[in-house]
Amino acid sequence: MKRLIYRQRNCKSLSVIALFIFLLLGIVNSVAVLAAEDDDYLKAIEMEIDKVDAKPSGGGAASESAGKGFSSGMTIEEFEEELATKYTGTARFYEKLPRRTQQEIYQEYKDGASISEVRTKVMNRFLRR
Amino acid sequence: MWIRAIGGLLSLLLWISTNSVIAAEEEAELKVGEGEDLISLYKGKPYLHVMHDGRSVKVERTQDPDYELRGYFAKTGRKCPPFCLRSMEVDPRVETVGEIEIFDFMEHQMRDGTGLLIDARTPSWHAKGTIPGSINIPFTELTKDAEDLEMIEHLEFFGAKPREEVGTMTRKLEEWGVMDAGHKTENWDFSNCKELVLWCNGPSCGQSPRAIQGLLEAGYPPEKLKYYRGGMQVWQLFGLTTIMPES
Repeated sequence: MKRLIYRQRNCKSLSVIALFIFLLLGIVNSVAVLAAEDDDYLKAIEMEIDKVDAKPSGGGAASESAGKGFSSGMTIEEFEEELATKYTGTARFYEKLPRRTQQEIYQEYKDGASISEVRTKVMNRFLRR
Repeated sequence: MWIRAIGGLLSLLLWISTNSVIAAEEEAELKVGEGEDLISLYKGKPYLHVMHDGRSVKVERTQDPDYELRGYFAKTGRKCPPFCLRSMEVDPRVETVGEIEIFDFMEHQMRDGTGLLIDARTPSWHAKGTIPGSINIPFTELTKDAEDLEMIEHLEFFGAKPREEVGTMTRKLEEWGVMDAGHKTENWDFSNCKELVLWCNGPSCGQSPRAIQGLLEAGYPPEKLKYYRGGMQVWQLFGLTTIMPES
């Protein structure tokens, strides 16, 4: 009889331990799933980064880049001088533009615009297109 | 002879009219340049300045009427998941803000030191360009446990103060509302913490929502958190200034 009671008790404590282990495994598993999800998300966003161009944008953006056909890192005065010496035709139309438009074109150069893009912009502004 | 004279007169008239048209055009263009055609941040606000890494940065919209968004942020489709469109709100208690609120925040809370604009993206994203005035605190650091050293440092940087041992009685009285707990949790006093605006890549970005949830879990008062859902994508869509971080 005593043995039977002892066995029953043993059985009970074993099932409590099993339940505890089951719960513990469940928690560990869900934490692992969450961690894996976070890892996957981090991987995905880090993979996406390669598709982004590193370039400032918008008004007032400061950039050290320069487009094709121009020297790099020029001030607006240097930019105008280079325009006047290398691209006389464009410079003549550029000179006729209001100062603010000239600054806008200089900004385009700073943002990496090529000479052909600058040329198109100057003509569009001159012809008010 | 008469024919030559008439021809000469006509050429002169044509020259005069062409020149006057050009002069009128230039005058009109000058007027445009003086501000009639200015693309302002919003009505009556052409631009503003914000401090970034110790220097003043002018925040404005691009003045190019032909500006079109190009590159990564012009993309309309991204794989979902993980880049799924997000709800307008991260949490019902956290306000979602737009660009005008950001401008206002830059001019008030950020200037008087009571607010921080947080680029919650990972450092590699931040390095590709950011909104002026933002500081980079990646969401990975703001989702850590409130007892994690890194999180503790961030919370202290935001103006939260670690709370000294609170007695059981005080805690119970605070729980029952007998004592005013204000912005206090068991371990932190958020009474003087800063207002934070968190942003990431835009409406399909989950980085800042995760950071906000992490801060809420740490006990940060929801009314001191704002979510700029538009993020980098909408900021650039409006041709607003972005800058390259120095480091």
